[in-house]
Amino acid sequence: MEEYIKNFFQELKNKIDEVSWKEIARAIKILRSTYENGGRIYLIGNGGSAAVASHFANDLNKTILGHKGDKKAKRFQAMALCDNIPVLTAWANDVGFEAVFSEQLKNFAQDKDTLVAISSSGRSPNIIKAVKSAKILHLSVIGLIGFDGGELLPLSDAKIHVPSFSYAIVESAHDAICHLITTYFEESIKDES
Amino acid sequence: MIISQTPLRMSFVGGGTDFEDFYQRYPGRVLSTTINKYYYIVLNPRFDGLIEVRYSKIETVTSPDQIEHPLVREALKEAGIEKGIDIVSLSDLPARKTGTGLGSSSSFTVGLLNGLYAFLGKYIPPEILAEKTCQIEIEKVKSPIGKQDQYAAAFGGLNQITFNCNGKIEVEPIYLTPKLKEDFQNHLLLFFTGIERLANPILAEQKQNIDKKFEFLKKMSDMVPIFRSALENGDFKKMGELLSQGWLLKKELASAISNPKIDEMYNLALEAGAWGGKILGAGGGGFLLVMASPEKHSKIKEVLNKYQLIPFRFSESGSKIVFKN
Repeated sequence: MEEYIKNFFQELKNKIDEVSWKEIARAIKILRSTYENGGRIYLIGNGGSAAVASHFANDLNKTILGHKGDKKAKRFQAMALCDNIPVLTAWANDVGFEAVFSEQLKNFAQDKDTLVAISSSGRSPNIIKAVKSAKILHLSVIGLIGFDGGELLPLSDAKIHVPSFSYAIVESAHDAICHLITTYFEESIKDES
Repeated sequence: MIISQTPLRMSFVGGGTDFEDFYQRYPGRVLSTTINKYYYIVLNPRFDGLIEVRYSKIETVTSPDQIEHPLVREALKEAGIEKGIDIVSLSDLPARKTGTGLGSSSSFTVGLLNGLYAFLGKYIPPEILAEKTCQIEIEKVKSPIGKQDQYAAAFGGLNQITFNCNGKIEVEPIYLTPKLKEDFQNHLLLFFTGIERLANPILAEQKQNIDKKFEFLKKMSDMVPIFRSALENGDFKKMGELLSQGWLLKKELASAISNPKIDEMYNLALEAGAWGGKILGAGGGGFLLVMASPEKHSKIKEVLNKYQLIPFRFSESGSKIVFKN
């Protein structure tokens, strides 16, 4: 049992070590630019990646303001497009599941905004469709990807790729990377004087 | 209506090595950052088909050829817009006719071109935006300038920009930890000299001197990796000294880069404990950048109290369409 548990963590550590630090730094630069320009950050994912998207949106909106949220600084504007069940089911039911994110994006997207697309396989049709819409709308795209990178990798401006074929490893690593980015902004965004 | 927002830039080392006459023979390098001071270009369709351009003056014309402002005229031609547009420009640090040393003319042109393409429903990636701006400023308008400003304004952020002998230009972001980035900014002070100067005569002389001053320029290019490694090691004292070394080399490039007033300001800052400093951009006036330990800042502000202190922060974003309706 000990070995079983240790093997999992060893695998997770190995895969995290393979993620390019420059791509994470590039993602931070994109998010920082969006923040400075007063742009919005949209986050999308399915299943476990939907949970990562919602969690990261919460951290950008609230966590970086400090535990009591009392930092007097301009705020991030992040929204996870998997959070609104009525809108999501409306598009899924009436048009098809592929449209659930791309159509929501069209309500809000402006040039200065960024899409964070989270997909372990890099192949989910609703994610790819949304990313293609984002490109047409001139958004920057940050991809949090696993497996072999799929279709999402070449479409992303910042390509955060965890090269594992295990959902458990990829999603765990994605969560850790989102926490790293959250910590970066928590430290770099100060009270405005 | 379209509004584009384009940052101004602050260049630390390597300015002058971004002229083609130099980097064809030896790689040019510049280390610069954009700051949270911007050019805004507002564009709106006009019902009467005229073109109206508002800057320090107002031009109302029927075709792009009639526009006096050379950058606006060439940008409109480049984008292929022939009529029916209002163009208004605003800046956080107005350049008037004379420039600021913060790359204003390129920020203006990058923002204008970005806006004009957005007006046509097109998106232009930063590398193309920078390249097209270089064509307008250097080839069409014949400004005697290098290529660092166009790339800084289009890409945004803290970068090492390398100008290779084969003409290829690389923009490499320098990523800093939150603490290092904060510390770097907290060591800098920016003062307005109060002198407004025309950059182009200085730059024209500098451009002519490239052959004569080739060895100086090589040294300035080679300082960039040294400055960068000092930055990455948080050695601000060394960075300050390198700024000054770069400034002393730069003064050799053309006669009007410094003057008694600038030398006096610079010397006062150093006597008050600054590690180094330089005039930003072409020189002759504009803004003085000073690098000093934060505990020396109050003393430096005191000795330079007749000059306006400009608070600023670094910024990450390049030219962006911030409003579209």
